[in-house]
Amino acid sequence: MVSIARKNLFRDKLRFVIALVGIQFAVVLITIQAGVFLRFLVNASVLIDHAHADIWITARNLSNFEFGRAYSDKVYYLAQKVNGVDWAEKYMLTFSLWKRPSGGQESVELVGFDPETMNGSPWQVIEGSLYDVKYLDQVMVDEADLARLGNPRVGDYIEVRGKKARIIGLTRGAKSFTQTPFVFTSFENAIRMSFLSRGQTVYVLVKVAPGYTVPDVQRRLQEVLPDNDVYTRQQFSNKSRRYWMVSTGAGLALLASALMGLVIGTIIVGQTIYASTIEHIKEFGTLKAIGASNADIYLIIIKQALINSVIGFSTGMIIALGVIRLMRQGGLDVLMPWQMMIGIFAVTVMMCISSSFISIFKITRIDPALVFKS
Amino acid sequence: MPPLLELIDVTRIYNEGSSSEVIAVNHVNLRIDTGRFVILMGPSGSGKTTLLMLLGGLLKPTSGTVSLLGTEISRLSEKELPYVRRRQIGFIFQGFNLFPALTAVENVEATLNVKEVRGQKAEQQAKVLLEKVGLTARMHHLPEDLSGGEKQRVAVARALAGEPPIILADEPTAALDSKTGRTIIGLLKELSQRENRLVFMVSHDNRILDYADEILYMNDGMLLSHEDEEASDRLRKQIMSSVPPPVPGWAE
Ligand SMILES: Nc1ncnc2c1ncn2[C@@H]1O[C@H](COP(=O)(O)OP(=O)(O)OP(=O)(O)O)[C@@H](O)[C@H]1O
Ligand SMILES: [Mg+2]
Repeated sequence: MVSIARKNLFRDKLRFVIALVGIQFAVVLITIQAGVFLRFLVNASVLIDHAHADIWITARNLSNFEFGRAYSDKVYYLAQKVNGVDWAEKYMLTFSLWKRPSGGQESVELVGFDPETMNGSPWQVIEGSLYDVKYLDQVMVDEADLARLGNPRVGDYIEVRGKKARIIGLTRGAKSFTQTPFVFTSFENAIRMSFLSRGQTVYVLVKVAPGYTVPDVQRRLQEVLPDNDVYTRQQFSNKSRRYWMVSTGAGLALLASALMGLVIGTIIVGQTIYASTIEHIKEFGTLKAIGASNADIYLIIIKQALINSVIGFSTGMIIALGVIRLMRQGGLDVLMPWQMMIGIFAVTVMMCISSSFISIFKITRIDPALVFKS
Repeated sequence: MPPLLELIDVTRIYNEGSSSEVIAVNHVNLRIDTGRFVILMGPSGSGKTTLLMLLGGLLKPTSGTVSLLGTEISRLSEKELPYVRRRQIGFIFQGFNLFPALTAVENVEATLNVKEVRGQKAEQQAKVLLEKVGLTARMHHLPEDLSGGEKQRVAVARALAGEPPIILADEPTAALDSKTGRTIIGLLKELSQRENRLVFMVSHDNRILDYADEILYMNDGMLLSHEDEEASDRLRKQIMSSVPPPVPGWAE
């Protein structure tokens, strides 16, 4: 088979390059926006997803994980007695103030967990031993937050809400959605470094005992605790993500710029494919006279769109991966799972095909007399 | 046996009902049998190209019927017509209309592909056709690297692709010098008569008239009947005296 699609495409080199640049632009923009979006999404519920709890008990009507409110730890004692609860634990996430070694304050999010079970603790420690946070006023922070915290070193003493504390280690990848630095310590230490008082907790984590179902235990807990909300891990995780993505408009903003990439890409590709169709219109007319059906000619145009999208996507993705690498070096982690790559490829193909629709419309209306003009 | 091509009372009106209405073809009756070499002459704007498009199923008559081997093609749908063109008709154009990104052999091969000949077979047939028109040596050249005569040879090979019984040509020599024009038409006649094909050619070019088995005259949308000797004669003289042939313009 002689591929008129391919031969025509590669003959108009300049136009081909312009179409590729349009596709690359869209691919890079969409990939990065989607990668940032995904990273934010993961951050929004990262601690929930890493804790080994089946159920989260929270104050009423929380908007999301990072905005937890304190309630009486009587809830913790009540929960322990509920049938089907294997264990329950107090867990803390609350704002506090960090005093930089050089002076000045920075707001932080204190995370207080049980060092014996490590539920809700950071999952990657690059220096020090997490277990040691059980000792008085020992904390860990994330390596990525060091600059914001005033560049302290491991072993340094700092102050959190007026309490002296010592940095005993560093974590990696523990980033909050709000970008507020996490400060990890034991629940007991956290209470002292926070604005809460003894006898309060922010969350209660529950593990369901073997032989019981999660929804069952959830319902029973809710009956016993009418003044609290009881979520499964997935529910609470989704709720936190939804809050950031939908309620705050952060998701919308990212979506909008990804969409902009798509629109601009479609316009550029559509323009070039259309210009090329117009230029080759007499050839298409000739094909029709020879006996090609409209469908045969659409196929040529769609094939061109497909060639464009495969080459545009692969080169665009190489550029996008380069940019992501630079962003990671700059401290902004961008997620790029393979499922997303496939999704973006599908979007690229759809973009290229939809941008050939005007050309296809043009083909249906070719004047047969065209081919007899010299 | 029905005639190869038959037009019964065919009229084609452009922009019907508007102030710019043109009756391009006016109540034309015509029967042509296989193996003929017919040249259609007539002044510019007389409706020759329109008639050719009607014969080729590229245009529908406003009234009347166009039949190909007894099948009324003027009634066929847009979906059925490509099939008829693929099987029955080869076109040659004044402007060659080669695909500029394809080499000579690829041009013929692509045409064969449209006509449902594929793969190795198409490539082989394309080579044979180019050999017939004497272009073997320049087979792998792009159209831009071929002379006008060579391009029209490729076009002749393309028109013969798929062995259609009918070849329709619109002023195939108008863009060529007279010697080349005659050579091409000689070649076309030889190749078509060898296989008993009908060639229906529109031409202003009075230097090729001797190739014709039959010369038709058209004036103002009407085909002058064979009986109307006087009118035909007058028109012939008029055309013969206009040397060099007028470059046909497209009246908008
Ligand atoms: N698409 C169209 N719309 C309106 N009028 C048209 C159209 N095509 C042709 N005509 C008119 O129909 C008439 C016949 O045109 P046609 O092209 O068939 O003539 P022709 O004999 O081929 O002329 P030429 O020798 O210049 O090629 C002319 O008056 C022309 O202006
Ligand atoms: Mg004409």
